[in-house]
Amino acid sequence: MPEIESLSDISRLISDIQHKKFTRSYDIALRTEELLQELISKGHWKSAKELMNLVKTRIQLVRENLPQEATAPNIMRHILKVIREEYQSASKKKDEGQSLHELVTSTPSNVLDYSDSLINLRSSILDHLTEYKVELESSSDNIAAQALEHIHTNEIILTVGKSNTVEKFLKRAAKDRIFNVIVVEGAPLYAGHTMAASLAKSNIQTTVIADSAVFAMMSRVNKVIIGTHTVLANGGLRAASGIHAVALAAKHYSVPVMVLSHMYKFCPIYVGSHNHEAFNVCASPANVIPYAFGPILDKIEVNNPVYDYVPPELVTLFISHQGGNSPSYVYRLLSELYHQDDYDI
Amino acid sequence: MDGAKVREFFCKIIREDEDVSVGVAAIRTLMEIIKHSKSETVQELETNLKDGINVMKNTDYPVTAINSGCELFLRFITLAALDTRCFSDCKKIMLDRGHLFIKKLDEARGKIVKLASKFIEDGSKVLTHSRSRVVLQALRKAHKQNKRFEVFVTISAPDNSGKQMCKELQAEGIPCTLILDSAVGYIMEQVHFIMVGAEGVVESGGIVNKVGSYTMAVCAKEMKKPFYVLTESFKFSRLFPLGQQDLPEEYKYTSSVRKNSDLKKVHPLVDYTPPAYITLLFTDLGILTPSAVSDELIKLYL
Amino acid sequence: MDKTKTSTDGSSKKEKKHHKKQSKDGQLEANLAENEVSHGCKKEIVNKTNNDATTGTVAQKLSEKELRRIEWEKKLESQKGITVTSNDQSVGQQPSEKELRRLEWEKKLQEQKAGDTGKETLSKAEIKAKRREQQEAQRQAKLAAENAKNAAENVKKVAATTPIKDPGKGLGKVEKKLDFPKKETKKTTDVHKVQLVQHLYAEMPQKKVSKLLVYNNIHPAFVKLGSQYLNKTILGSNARTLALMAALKHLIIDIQTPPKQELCRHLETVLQTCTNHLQNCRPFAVSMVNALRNFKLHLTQVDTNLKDSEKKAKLQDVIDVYIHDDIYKAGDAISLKVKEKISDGDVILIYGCSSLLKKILVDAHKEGKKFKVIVADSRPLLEGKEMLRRLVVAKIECTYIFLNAVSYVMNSVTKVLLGAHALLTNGYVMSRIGTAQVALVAKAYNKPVLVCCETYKFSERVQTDSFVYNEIGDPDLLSKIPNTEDPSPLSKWKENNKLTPLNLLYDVTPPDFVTAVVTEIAILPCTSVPVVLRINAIENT
Repeated sequence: MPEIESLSDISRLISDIQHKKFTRSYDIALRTEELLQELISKGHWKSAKELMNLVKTRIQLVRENLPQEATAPNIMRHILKVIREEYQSASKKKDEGQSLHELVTSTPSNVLDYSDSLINLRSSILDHLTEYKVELESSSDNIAAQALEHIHTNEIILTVGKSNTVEKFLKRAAKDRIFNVIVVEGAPLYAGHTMAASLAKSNIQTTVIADSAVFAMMSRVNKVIIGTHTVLANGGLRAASGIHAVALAAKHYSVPVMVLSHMYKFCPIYVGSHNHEAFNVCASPANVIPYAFGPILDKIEVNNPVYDYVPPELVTLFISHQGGNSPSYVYRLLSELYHQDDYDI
Repeated sequence: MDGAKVREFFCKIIREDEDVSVGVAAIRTLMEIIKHSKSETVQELETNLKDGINVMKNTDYPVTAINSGCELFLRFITLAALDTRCFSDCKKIMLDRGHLFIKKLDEARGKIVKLASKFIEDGSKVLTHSRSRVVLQALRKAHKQNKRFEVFVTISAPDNSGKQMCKELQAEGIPCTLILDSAVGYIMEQVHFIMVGAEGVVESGGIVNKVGSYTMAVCAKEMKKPFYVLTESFKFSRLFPLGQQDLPEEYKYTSSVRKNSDLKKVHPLVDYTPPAYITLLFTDLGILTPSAVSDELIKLYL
Repeated sequence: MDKTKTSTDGSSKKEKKHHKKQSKDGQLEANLAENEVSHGCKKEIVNKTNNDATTGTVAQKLSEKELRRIEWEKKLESQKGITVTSNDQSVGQQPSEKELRRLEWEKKLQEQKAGDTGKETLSKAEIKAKRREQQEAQRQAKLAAENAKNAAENVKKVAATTPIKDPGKGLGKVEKKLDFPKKETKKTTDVHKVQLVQHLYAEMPQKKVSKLLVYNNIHPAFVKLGSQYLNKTILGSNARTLALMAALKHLIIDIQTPPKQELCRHLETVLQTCTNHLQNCRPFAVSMVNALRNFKLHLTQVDTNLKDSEKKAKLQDVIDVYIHDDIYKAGDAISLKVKEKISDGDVILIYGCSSLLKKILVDAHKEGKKFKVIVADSRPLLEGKEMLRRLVVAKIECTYIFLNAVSYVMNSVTKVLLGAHALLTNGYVMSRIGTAQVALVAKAYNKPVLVCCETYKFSERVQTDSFVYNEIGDPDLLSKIPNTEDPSPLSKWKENNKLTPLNLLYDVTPPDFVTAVVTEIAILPCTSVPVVLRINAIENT
């Protein structure tokens, strides 16, 4: 049965993510893109509708198995939008959107079915996909290219843990400006250590502090620049654990918080309450207390959450390859990336 | 259709159908006017409609919803009128579109309820203000999804509509507590979030709602509780109040009150909640942040 | 050790029983012996005892000549503020030894001639000798200072360049001599100072006090205490204050007033040298400062007509009362007050380790209150683990998290309890670093924050940020990752002068994050600290 077989590609991706074979979300993005390329060029589909259904099943599978994973579903959602657009331009029909305007001007015949099979659809979608791949590969550099607009001389910048995007950003700025960076070590993963070592290699004056010193240092920090795992639909973040406290301290001292993020991290999902089990995931407590600690281990409970929810009012700016945006504009970016009907898949 | 008939039709709709909102009733009335209109030009039709609107505003129902609904409908008329040459064709198109429009509006509530009920979690405590049909439906739906939650409703003087809301909730089997309007601050630390309806959504992204909503919003912001607004998209209006005093008087007081008494001594019916205090708006266009409201309005009118 | 039995000084034997380290033994005896030089004790005996002291870990059997030579060197240096610890010390001193010895003899003769008045009538030759002596001393001091400069990490021991009597500072220089071979690597650490807190590096203690160091004028209890502070064996302001008071009691018991001096005045001077030594090991906590100030106040008020033993008893009593009232009883009172605020079903978040908090929680648990505790902890000291152990032993239900998870658990928390190092006059709470962050997150979730603090920790200082006054800990603690085999990428930070780990120890929490401060007097708002200080001041006068 071709339907069941064809899901093996996504299952492989899911299991790779679960086994932590990817160190960066960028790698996941590339893999997803490859998967989609395979699907579109070699998959068994005749009309746009069938293709969309194939993609939708995959999105659902990922969301079932990895509720926190956002990169892969986001890219697939974007492809759905691409498919719709290509279909519309090929069949010269306009889509019924969701806006007041559309509400008022729609006619009964406007409901699009996407079921016509068009000849050039496959190639046009593939073209679009290649464009998207190029965009993906260059987005890191594009973000880094904006570095000089945001960092001036003699600034003290605070960053948390390790983010490849932030690293590139700071290194790019360091080529022309002299500034200091304070790296928060980010226990229990201590990713900040690698980040600091790498920044120091590029001749940036780096100081490493423990998580506990953030509030103390914040009064002298000029900017906080961080990466994130996901950007939620309301402009909030799902970021590494501990970043909420950093953002609160920054708010207290009125320090701007800038979040560098690629477009595939923007997720159209609203989170009702961040205590919801699907929002956060807990990692092994061995990083917090080693198993060798002793017999009291069975008398205590240890929590080691991986993510943190940061509400949108604590974020000042989102920097993506298209430029900077305020958190209140995220809804617009989302509507450009994904189609309204695909928000909920 | 003359003024008296308009008024009669309008009031009949509201009396007969409990669930219909004032705005939808107004739009239906306008559709009636078009149907019965004997005018031959678009301009005349528009004048008739505007007269009808004035009549409706002079009833004692809240003006906010009537205003926004009618404005939207008028816009829709203008857009429709550009297409055809013959007036009777035009009228036919208008009626068709009108029916579609009304059908969509009827579906609007269902969409909102679907979105909002996801945010009501098991074990949560909800605070709501006065009586809102959308909120009631959302709570009903969540209850049907077997979620256990508790609701606090303010009595909301002077018409005490909160009491009716409480009765309706209890009839569904949802645990409900009636609280004094002044007890909002006291109860705020126990609730998880606030859900209110809106009579109108203004251009800034803020809302116009039963008086007391502003106080609740300020308190919620201070205690860091999310403030959710459930509203249909036809309630969006082009108003931009700068403060409480800047709200037009026809919104704050009914027409009879305006004619008869000294406005300085009368309590207003509605107040304005600025967008800074609102977390999210649940509309049939989706979940919007307050800044997205203006986006929608710009797309429509410009 | 038998050689020393001829000593007429009975107290020295008693001290030997008290102290473990022989080197310190000898030092003290040398100290006392020096005091008695003017009384004309036999130097040979003193020589031998001193020799025992200096070569404590080395073989005791050395020839008489060697012993005498060493003794003279030491004498000379101790008078000029330099202490020699080993026989193989700086070669530069060798040629001038004979001269030194001669000068020493002459000086002693003079002193014996002058007698108790202390006045010295100098002949021409003696004046010349004295001048040469001074020159010699200065030359040696310069040499030592050079070593100090080369080997040191910015220690503000300017005193090293000038001859002083205080042996405490002298040991600083000696350590530099020992560190001679490491000069090259230590030079690069000069750049490893974070600009913001440069002023704090000066107060950083020396690393690893050498075992061969000899302390001339310091009571062994204080020496031990100093090294405990330095190695962070004793952590926490209550613990440090209690240890200080205990050492102080030892000092009172052991002190011998020299003739023509009053016990209290003498004690003051001795105490000064001891506390200076402690300051060098680790800057004083506010609680320690307050405790000492209280003691010194009572010291001045002691009736000088009493006998020495009565005075000593009185002073010990003062200390006991202080400990009992201001530390233990205060702890009980605070515990009672907080117990009322803890209700069944509470989830209490605490941060780090505080003896007072442990007492409160254990007492509340014994009363039968049912609550859970979440212990938040942070690097690099990881004091929370100790707190966790103590609470689990008391059978309290505990959860353990790192500081980054505070936002995650804060929703389920009902109260936050924090300890304090000190409470400042402008209402700020000075506490272990990370406390301000916990309070900040608690405020963001609207949870009440209670700070528990005895009134003896209140300070007149004012501070608004955490940089002006702080303590810098060992940066290597940060660069080492626990529980892993691989070294951290930071482990080579010393070689990279762009990379600096910063390990701050304290931070200040603004009063708007704190709901209430619980003291033994009352539950106060944070801003009432100056009121309490004022009342205490009135009570004490």
